Amino acid sequence: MKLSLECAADDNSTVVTGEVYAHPVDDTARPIVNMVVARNSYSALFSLPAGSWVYHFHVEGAGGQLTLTLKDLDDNATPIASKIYDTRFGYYGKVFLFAVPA
Amino acid sequence: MKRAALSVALASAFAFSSVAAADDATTTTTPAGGARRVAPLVPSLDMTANTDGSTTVRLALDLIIGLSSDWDFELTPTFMTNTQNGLGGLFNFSGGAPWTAGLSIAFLDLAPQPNGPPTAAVLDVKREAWNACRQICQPGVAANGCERFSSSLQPVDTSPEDLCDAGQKIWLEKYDRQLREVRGRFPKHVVGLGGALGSSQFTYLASDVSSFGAITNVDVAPAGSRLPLSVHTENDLEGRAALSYAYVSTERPFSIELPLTYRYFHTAQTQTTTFCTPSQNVITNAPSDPNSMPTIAMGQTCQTLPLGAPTATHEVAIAAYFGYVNKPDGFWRFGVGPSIDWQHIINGQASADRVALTIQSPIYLNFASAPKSWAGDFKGVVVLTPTAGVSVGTFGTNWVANVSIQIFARRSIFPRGLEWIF
Repeated sequence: MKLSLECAADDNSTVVTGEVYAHPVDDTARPIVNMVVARNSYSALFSLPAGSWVYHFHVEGAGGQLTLTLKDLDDNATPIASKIYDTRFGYYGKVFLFAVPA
Repeated sequence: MKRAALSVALASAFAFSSVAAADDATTTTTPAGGARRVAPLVPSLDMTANTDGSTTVRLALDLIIGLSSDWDFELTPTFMTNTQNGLGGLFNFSGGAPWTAGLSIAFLDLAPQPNGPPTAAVLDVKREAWNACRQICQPGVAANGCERFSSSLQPVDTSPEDLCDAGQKIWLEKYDRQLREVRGRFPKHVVGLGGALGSSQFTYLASDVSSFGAITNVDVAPAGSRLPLSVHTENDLEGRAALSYAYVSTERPFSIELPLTYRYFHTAQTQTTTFCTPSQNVITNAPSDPNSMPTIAMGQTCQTLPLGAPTATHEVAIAAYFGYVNKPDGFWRFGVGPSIDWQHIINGQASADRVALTIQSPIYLNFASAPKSWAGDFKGVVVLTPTAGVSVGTFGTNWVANVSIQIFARRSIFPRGLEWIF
């Protein structure tokens, strides 16, 4: 399935950077998709099969509040998952869990 | 940049922990996280004794404010003073100790954030935060951030946003701020700028034409050199400014430092005159026999003062050091590179210039670090700087060869702003 990860942030300099892993993640996990980077007006595009996935990322730039939204590009960009983050709780260790339907 | 200096730095490595604790005390149930350090404020006290007899003390407060995920802003109000008469003269305020007040600012481009899967440190802290939340958030509890915490998610799958208040506090203190301190140990780029102003007081002997107008009459004293001298005291401006840039490679243990410094200072004349005034008579041999006569000598109080007003010097120095950094421990580093030091010395109506071209190789050895509970830097460092080169100027050409030793304690092993002037 073709997917788009969008980032809507308070500040245009805010960037999210990370990798997508198969969920659950263990100590030996290797990223399925590397360098998943998104910001305002710049979405990350990648493909994943149906299943449970997790995006481990950190925030760069000015920070503030940001919303990640995963959209299904095969289905008119229908949102699959969305979550609000805030750098008040730090820049690191962010987790975005999502499931890709069959 | 004064060479041949022996510096003694005193700084309380424990002070920052109390500062940090005070900072933490202000943390409420809604923690303000992100671009903050564990210890945003650290003190430092730097004492320098030079081989020429002068001594310098620098007191500073080092405040770091996060601008964004990758940039910190450093503000360092600094008080510094020096004396030609050793440590005791530093605190002789009635004599006009030359205190200089200044401010350094710096912009720090932090080392890159780590990529890759969650590290063991991430998992450990998340597990601790998650366990704290699970204890607090019993079934039916919807306060203290428990409404967003779900124990059905494993710690590794829990974002900091999903932790309860206590869990978020643990995460920010034990991971987020610690990682920022780690990234701040070897910033990729640091641009520093500093300036300081103050005054120094000099007492010297000089002819005072206005007070001796009658004597300057050519009929009475045809020779100008015979003018009597009087004691003068004056306060002179002292100024310092510094601009510095440092680059530390993130991939390799390589660094570049480019300091540019300016000093305006006054120096007492080396030629002196001793003068005496009568004081009480002194019995030099107190007789044991009441019938014998004591020997009485005429007493004098003598004072030696410089002859003439102090000289004023403008000094500009620029250097480029290419170095190796022991990372990640930062136990030692060294640099090597050329240095140009130009002095313009003004002595009354006359002036002279001196340019020193040298190769310097400062070697930094870290002998004391912050407690392991803090990932940041607060180091005690010994600096050995061999220097070799040539000095050319009005006074002739001289070869320069010396080794300086300096000891300091501060946040970074890389000097910034006014820290380049000692």
